[in-house]
Amino acid sequence: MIEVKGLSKSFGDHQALKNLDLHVKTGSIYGLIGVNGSGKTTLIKHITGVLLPDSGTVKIDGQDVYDNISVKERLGYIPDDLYFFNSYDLKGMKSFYRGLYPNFSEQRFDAMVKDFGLPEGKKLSKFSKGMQKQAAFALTMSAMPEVLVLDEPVDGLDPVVRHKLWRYVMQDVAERSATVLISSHNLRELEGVCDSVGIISGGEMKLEGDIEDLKNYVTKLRENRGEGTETDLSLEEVFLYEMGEDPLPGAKGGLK
Amino acid sequence: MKNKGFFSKVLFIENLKRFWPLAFVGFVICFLSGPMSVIRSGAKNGVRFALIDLNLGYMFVALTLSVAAAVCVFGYLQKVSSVSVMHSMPFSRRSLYVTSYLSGLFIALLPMILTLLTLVVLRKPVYPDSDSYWYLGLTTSLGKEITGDVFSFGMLLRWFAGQFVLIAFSYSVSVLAGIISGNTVIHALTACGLNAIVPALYGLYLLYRELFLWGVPASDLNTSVLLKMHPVFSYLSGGLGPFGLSKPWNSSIYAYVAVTIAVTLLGFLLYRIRPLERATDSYVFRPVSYLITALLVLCFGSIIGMIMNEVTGGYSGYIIGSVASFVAAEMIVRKTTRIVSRESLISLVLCAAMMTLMVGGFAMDLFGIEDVIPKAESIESVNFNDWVSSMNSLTADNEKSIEDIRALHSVIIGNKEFLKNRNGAEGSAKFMIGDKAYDPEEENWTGVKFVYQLKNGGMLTRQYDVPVRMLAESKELQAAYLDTDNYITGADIMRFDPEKLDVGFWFDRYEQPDPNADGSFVEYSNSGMLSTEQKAALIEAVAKDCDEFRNDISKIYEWRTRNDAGIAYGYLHMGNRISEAEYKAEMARGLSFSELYRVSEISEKSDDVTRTEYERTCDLDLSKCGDNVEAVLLRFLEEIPELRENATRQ
Repeated sequence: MIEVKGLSKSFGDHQALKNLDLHVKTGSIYGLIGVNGSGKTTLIKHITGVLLPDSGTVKIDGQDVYDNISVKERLGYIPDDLYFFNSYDLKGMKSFYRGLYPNFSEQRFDAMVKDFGLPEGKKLSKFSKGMQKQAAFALTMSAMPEVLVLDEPVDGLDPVVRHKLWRYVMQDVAERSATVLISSHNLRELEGVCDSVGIISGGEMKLEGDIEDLKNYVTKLRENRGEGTETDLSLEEVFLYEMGEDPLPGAKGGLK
Repeated sequence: MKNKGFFSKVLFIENLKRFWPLAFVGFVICFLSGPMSVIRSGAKNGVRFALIDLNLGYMFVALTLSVAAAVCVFGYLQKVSSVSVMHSMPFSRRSLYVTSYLSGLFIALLPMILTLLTLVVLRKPVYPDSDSYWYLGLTTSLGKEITGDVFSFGMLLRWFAGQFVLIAFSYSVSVLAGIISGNTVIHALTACGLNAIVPALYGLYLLYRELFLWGVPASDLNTSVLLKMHPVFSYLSGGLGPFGLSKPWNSSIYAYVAVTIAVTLLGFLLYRIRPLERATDSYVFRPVSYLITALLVLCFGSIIGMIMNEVTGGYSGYIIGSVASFVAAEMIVRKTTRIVSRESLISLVLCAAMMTLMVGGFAMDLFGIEDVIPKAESIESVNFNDWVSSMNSLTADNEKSIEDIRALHSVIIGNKEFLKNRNGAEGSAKFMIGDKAYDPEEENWTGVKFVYQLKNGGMLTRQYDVPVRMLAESKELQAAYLDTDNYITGADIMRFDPEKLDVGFWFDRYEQPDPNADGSFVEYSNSGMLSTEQKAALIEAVAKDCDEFRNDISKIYEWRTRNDAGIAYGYLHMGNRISEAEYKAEMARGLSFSELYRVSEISEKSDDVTRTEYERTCDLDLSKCGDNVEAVLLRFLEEIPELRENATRQ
């Protein structure tokens, strides 16, 4: 379980996160959505133990993440901006990951590399951006993480690969009760895979809950405001409504 | 559980796998610089290059690899992507720092380790051989005699220890540079800059002192301080060689080790609070940005100011230089050309205050450096000399003579305003020192230099221009000459016992017809020509000269000549170039060539156990010979045919 409480972070004069709370249940998939610059990546860097909070706590299964090696061994992170060692190929990186992660599965790695059709002996820097992302998935998911944090995971991938990736993610959740947090702008895809979402804006958590609950909440709110009676809203419509950009007729937007 | 402590074996090995080419290239250079010479020239001659002489190949590898290894292993800190990935992996910040630090250090050391192993394989016993030229060089450079095997395993380990100190120091500083930097280029530049900053600031300090302060020369370089600023100075001076880790360098070695540990710990602490989100900035800590700007302005603003000051004079160069340096520094540090910001304004105020304090402080001597005279109890000895008679310098080495020199120094400093400006008070051209009046235009001026050797190993040098007459009439200087150990022990000419005194005459025999032409000459010494009575007459003449001595050139030489005359006299050294008549004629004109009297007394004190022999000798310029000695010498020429014959023989 990922639990963030009262998290605040400033970069100089800019406050990136303001007293933010977030809860991700074990074995669930959580979608983190927000406009550009809303603080999603900053939040993720706290959840993955990269950044030290100014205040507040970030815990996984009750343990602080920051500087906690035993928690990080169970944590997999695929950033939007990938990084591999210079001049390394997949074999070299696999060797590194295998040494670092105690649960690393070579069997899974081999299966994923084969599934994606990645050349193991080719330098990763020579891979296309999409192939690099697949390589990052193969490495990270072969570490068999209990918590998986994905920042824009399918950005730039073709539908076939995306389908495969989601399948692996769902498989981990179903078979190993992995907890997954995904940040993405692709709301339609998120809607298809997420159990719950959090909408972040200006460094604050605006709305958080199960997708269906959010939809019902927005529907009722719109009704109460006299903005319409449409039901079966999409996640994108909910998000846009929250951002004051409701595409629905008559909507004023915003949940305040 | 893996990697729970300070060290990650996985990362260590990975770093070695990634950056081994650095070590390989380093080893190739080291191999060609050292072991190759052993292979080609044999152990005896090769050991010079491999261990004894200053080896620039080793030094190049040590310095460049220290910076390069730090830049490589901590390179992950300088990019947003690598920062995120590495810090989300199962490492703590402390394990990342410690492992990266150790792996980089190992890479930097690896060429030296491999060179050490190669030399161990090539090792053969090599003993000092007085006929071999390298042995002479060895004793000269290290100032001590080598008697054992110079290519032993122990010597190799000592060589490695020296390399280790140099590399560990430079590498730790380079790592610290990486922790405060935000991108690779800035990291590399900062690593070079930090390694050089302390000596550079010291050099700048010396330049400021020389330019702005009266009597303070740049040559007032404290070698012992400089040697502690970076191991490369010890390395260049032989102190980090295999034989250099002995006593004279111990304190430096300790200082380097202490600084290395301190810098490493500082890097560790800063890493733990490093704002990772500032990767790709120039510097990640805000106070460091101010500091770097200040250092750049201080260095470059000062240098530009000093150069412009030479051309235009005044302080405008410092203002222009500081502003230009500030703008450039801010652009580098803020990584933008838009430097109008609150932070830049703060930085500007800090830099302006600093430069005002530096230039103004030195110009007005706010720190009182001009007036510093070391405390008597801190002085080991002090050397005083002046330009006019620089060959006759005075070394005060006892309490009394040191106090005399300090008193003379105080008189000079007490009259600073007059001597500095060569002006009297209230616009008057003349000035008074004590009860004597001086007219700057009329006086002969000479440079004088005080060199204090301090008990803590330091040195303090001051030099001034003063009227010659001021020195000639200085009671303090006279007292100083008379109070030196040299004078006290040797000055009393009457202490020479004519029975024991051996007076020899030296005659230069030029093989070339022209005595001024280059060519070999032989000296012929003939002692025992003087009878006891004649020797007694010579001693008496010297004593009289000491009492009556007058020298029209300058009275300042009176005390000095007394001193020298007292010590000297033993061998009468006369050139064969002049005849008796010429000699007399030259003397009559107040001869000023440098034919020297050398007098020494050799006495033996023997007992059953020990035998002590000592010789006192000193030179005396013939031109300063007094009337009495001159008369006696001319009489000797008359009285002693052998002396006359030798003195006049061409």
